[in-house]
Amino acid sequence: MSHFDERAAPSELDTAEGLKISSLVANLDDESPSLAWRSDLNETLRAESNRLQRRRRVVFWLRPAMGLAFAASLMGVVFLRSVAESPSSNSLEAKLVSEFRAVAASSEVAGPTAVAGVELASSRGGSSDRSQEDEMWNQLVDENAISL
Amino acid sequence: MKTRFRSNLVSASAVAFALSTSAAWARTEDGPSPVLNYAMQSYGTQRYVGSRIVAFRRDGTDKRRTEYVTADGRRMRTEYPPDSDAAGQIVVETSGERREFFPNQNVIRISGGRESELSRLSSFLRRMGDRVRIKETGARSVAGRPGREVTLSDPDGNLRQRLVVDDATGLVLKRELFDSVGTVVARFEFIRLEFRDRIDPRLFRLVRKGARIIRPFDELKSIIAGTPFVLAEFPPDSGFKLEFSRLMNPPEGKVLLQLYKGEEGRVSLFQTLAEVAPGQLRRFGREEVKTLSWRSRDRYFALVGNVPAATLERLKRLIVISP
Repeated sequence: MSHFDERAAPSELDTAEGLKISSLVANLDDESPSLAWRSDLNETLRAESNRLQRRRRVVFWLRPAMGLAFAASLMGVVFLRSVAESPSSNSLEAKLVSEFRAVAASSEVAGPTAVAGVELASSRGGSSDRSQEDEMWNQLVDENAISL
Repeated sequence: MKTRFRSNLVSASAVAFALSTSAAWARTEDGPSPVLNYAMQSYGTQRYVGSRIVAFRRDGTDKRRTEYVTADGRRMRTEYPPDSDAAGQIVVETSGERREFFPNQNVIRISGGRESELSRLSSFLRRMGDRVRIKETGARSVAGRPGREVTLSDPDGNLRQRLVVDDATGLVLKRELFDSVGTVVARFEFIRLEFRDRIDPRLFRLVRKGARIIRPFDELKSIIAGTPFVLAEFPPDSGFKLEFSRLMNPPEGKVLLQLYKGEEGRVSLFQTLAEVAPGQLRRFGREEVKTLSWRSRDRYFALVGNVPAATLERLKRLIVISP
């Protein structure tokens, strides 16, 4: 049998202690609430109702405002990120790609040394003794070639 | 007379053969581009002597040269007129190497050999597929020779390349390359051209006793001496050969550029002192130019090339860095 078996309850109420409590409850005065108490209660209820209404009003406006603020901040983050990452034609990355395009196209057509602008590509000026000597040899070859 | 007849017959047969076997991948909006396919298949088969104007934009200025060219198949000899800034230079290109003689310094510069620029164009077209619009825009005469014009545009219709192909031989008589806003950034055009039956093979030897031999790698070493940059290179078996190196001086700090050439296209290896943002680099590259950037040993590296992205990844793995 369960400890909480319903059949056990009446027998427990029939104990001396149970009967004593029962008579105490039966002898209690039937007090009706006073007008002052009721008035206080009404005041309290009204105040509580006003507070709840105010809270509802605040929540009514605050909830969309918070959503709006969240959306705005999200947009702000996305915008700032896109601004930070937007390709600026003056950035280092732009210069690397544009330099590649320029040298690749020119090298294809004109050859690498012409494009590189290496010092060697300039054959004029600053000639060495060796090249002056070479020039004299070339003149001799040209003159002889003409007379051939 | 008999020789000329035979030559014309050979040319006509070449045209017929090329047109009949033209690959279907160089396509116009209406179908294959016979003219472009003919030019690609004829590359390196012509013998000629001629003059051409070569022009390109460099650092905001236009550079222009006249070249005297002699070609036998894939071998080419280039000389310059006496009033040219390159007067005295001689360039001999073969399939194995490119030799340039600089008389003032008594130097012969040896770099990677002549490869078909049209083979690079063909691999580019294969890669881009329908994203390149090819149009045959009619007859054009260059250096007194009848030819046909072909244009290559991006999907938005921006003109990126224009070629005129010789009717009789398939030789590219004129070629113009445009940047993204339609400016011509590089071009050549024959102004005199004469086809020959035979070219003296000795014209394609460039040897000079006593001349100092330099290679692009020697130039690279001398350029980076005294700079914070490290010696970084692709190994010989990478398929890419160094064409030249140069230092750039943008406000963000020095940049080292190394330009490489391979069958797939060209690739620049950049070393920078300032950070390179991969996202921004990618955005500028757009479709035809691929990019890759990373940081190593307190330096920033970037690969930019008109090759597939997988090739850049492969080259990144292959880079040899010497301290």
